[in-house]
Amino acid sequence: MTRMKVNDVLGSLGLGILAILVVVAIFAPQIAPYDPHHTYKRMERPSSEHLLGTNDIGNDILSEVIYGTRVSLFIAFMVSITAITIGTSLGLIAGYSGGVAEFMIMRIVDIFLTIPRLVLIIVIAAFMPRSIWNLIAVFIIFGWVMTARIVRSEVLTLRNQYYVESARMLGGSNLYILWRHILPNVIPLVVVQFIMEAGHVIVAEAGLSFLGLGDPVARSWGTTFHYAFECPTLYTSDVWMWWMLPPGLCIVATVLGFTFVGYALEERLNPKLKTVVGMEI
Amino acid sequence: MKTHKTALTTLVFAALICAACMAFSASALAGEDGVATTDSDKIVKSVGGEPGKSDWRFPAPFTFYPRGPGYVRMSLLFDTLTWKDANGVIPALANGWKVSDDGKTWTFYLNTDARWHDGEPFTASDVKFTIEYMQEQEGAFKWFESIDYIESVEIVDDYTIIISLNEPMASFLVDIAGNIPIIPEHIWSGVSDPSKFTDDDAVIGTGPMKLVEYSSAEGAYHYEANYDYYNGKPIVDEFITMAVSNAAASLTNGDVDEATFWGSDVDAVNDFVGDDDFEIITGPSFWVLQIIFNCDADKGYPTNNVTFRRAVAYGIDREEIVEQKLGGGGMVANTGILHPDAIWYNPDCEGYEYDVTAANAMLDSLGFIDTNSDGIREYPAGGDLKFTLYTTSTYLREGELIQAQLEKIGIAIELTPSDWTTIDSYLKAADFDMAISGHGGIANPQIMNLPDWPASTYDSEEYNSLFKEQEVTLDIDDRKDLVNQLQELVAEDLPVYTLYHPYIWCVFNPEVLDTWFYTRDGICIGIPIELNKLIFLARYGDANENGKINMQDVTAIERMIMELDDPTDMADANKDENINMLDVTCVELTILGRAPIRCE
Repeated sequence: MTRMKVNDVLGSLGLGILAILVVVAIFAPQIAPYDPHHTYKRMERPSSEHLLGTNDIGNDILSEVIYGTRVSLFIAFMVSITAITIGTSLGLIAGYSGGVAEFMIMRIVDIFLTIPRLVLIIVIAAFMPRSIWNLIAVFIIFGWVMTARIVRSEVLTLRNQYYVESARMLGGSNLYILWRHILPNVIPLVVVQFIMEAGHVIVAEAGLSFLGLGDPVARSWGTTFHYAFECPTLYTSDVWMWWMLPPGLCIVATVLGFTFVGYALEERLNPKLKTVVGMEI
Repeated sequence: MKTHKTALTTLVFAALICAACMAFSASALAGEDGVATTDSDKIVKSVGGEPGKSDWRFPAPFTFYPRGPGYVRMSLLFDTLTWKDANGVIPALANGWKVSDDGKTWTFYLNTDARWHDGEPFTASDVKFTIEYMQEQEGAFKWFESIDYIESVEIVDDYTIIISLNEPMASFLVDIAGNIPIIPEHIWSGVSDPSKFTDDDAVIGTGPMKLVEYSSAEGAYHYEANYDYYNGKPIVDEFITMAVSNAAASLTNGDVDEATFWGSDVDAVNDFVGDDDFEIITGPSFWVLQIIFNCDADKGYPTNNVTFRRAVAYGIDREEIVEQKLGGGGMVANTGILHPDAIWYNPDCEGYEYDVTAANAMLDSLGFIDTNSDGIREYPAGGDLKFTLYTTSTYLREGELIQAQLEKIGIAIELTPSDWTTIDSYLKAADFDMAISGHGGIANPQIMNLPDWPASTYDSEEYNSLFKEQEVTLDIDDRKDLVNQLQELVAEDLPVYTLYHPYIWCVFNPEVLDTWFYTRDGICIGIPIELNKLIFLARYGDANENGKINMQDVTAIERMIMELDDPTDMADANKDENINMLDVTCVELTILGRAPIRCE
């Protein structure tokens, strides 16, 4: 039972972090002390005016990080929603219909799964025009795969359940059965996938922006990190403490938030993991 | 190479034996004090850029990367007829020269002591061969070339050569004589594809350095001194330039002895101010960042309209860019492109001081009005006044500042980072609105061939004829007048709008080497890099052999004449094998920037 409690604590902690981030993102213009594109005296140390100092062109770093929450979360949610929708639909089709459709979808999934995801994303991103929408598109291309596979295997068991077969015998259409009886049963899995995917995207976006492959105008945390890293005095002074650390901590906190919530939900919702839960720590 | 190596080995061996003998005899004579002291090798390490961005290719004349750093790495190995120091043109492979009155016939008197790294003597036939080989292998020398100006080369004797030009060329002494690396005939006469020739033999020159190793992956170049150099004694035994990820940290840790900093690196440089372990010299970068406009008559609307371009110029606050991006590590550029420290600079070009009212008035007059009050102007025919601004990732910050500034006058900018090759192809195809790009060499009017690059959409007959005319005008005042007009025309027509000239700093550890200096008007055709091969040499006239020629040397020579000090080879400034008052005069002339040139 201890295990369950630990999970609950972590889950609420994660939920708390995410809630704060969402509030910060939505109310960024109200929370941020300055417009992140406005310029002040450059390379200022933290002061009461600029709590985290100013960057290489004189933008207020705190405001930049606060607005960065918007960019990072926006990308994460956009990608997760689209990728999970695509993945769930394809998983449902593959699992329920079987045959050629299943074969085709599952082979594509296999191909995608063998490719090292982040490496390929970097290669594609390097050749694309830098914009937030292109970034989202690339993440979606690779984001749906795991969901499709998990949903399909779940559907494979569900479709042979007695209640599904009864519904079919009573003349329920395929769409009706998918919608009424199968989808509700895979939703818990999908929610967990959604949360996990969002966490992945936050890290991947930060990584790409850090490498200079993100959208340079949308100041995400990764972009702030990138410019901090280019600062010539990064290693010889303590600039990193207020320029590099804050966006880095934000990335860590967000990923932890998503992961905690994801694990907590997974234990609750994934029937396969429930058997393991009896294990005590 | 091989024979030379054997010779060197023998020499080292002999030296060792001598040292051993001396040590033995000394110890025999003096007992416990008798340990031979030999200077350990002096190795100088310098930062050659960042990892992944600093491979300047194999440093042979036909394979180096055709940008300043590539040329400089090659120039340590290969000499030219003339060269430049801190004060201007000096003799190199040519001891002296004269020019005919019509400016078409140049006679060069070559150095009789010069030898190739493999020991073969350098003669006039190598010069003739080099020029003819480069003309034959057209385009193989990818660097700035005006070699077509040369009509013929005539050998008078082994050490005298006459170069005849088709037309007089004002900048011949720098742009050709001080630019074309002379290659050895006995090696290159057998090479049919010079761009693929990268043997050990391909780096045999007459220069003060010999190549030990080049690593493409690490961007590292390792040189050793050419002790047989004809034009001064090497004061450094080995020189290494390599890629380093953080120059300031590497300098502080002592991993390197010298590094260059630019523009916004001012923060790093300021950390070295007041640090006794390091010295800082500053120089003009001869470099400019600019916005290029699409002036194409068909595809360039509305950037092909000069009033529109002027409105943009008034709407850009260059002071803010210098302050915010460079932190004061640069200056607002001359709108006429050429650098204020260049002798060709025209101070009277229109400056377009930041003026939102003027910019707005101009845009209004063109009919670009914000009809839907969204803060962005609309075309008379409808649609937002919105432009793509291309730039490489290096200048994104400048792009962001410009984006914010132009928004204030109702122009929307979509900032699009891309790589330089792609942007270059858009420029050529007139398939762009505006682009940010920079280049060096702005001490030399030849760089102002804008319709060739980068403003290939700019088609002005007046400009082209002015450019052509200054190229062949020999009288310096007449040419200066033409170059002034050229700059004023750029400032008026704005095919490009210049933003800033960054400052440049060289931070070095003087304990290791303190001869670093910035070349007058840049190395060769205007390369703003401190890596001039002369830093490795004690030059004749440098009587106290500290690498600098200044009044201390005059004093040193005077003391030698008065027999207060021991004479050194280097004190013989005019190389007549006597140390007398003529050497003092010679040094003084060198300090004044009038290096003695033998003219007949």
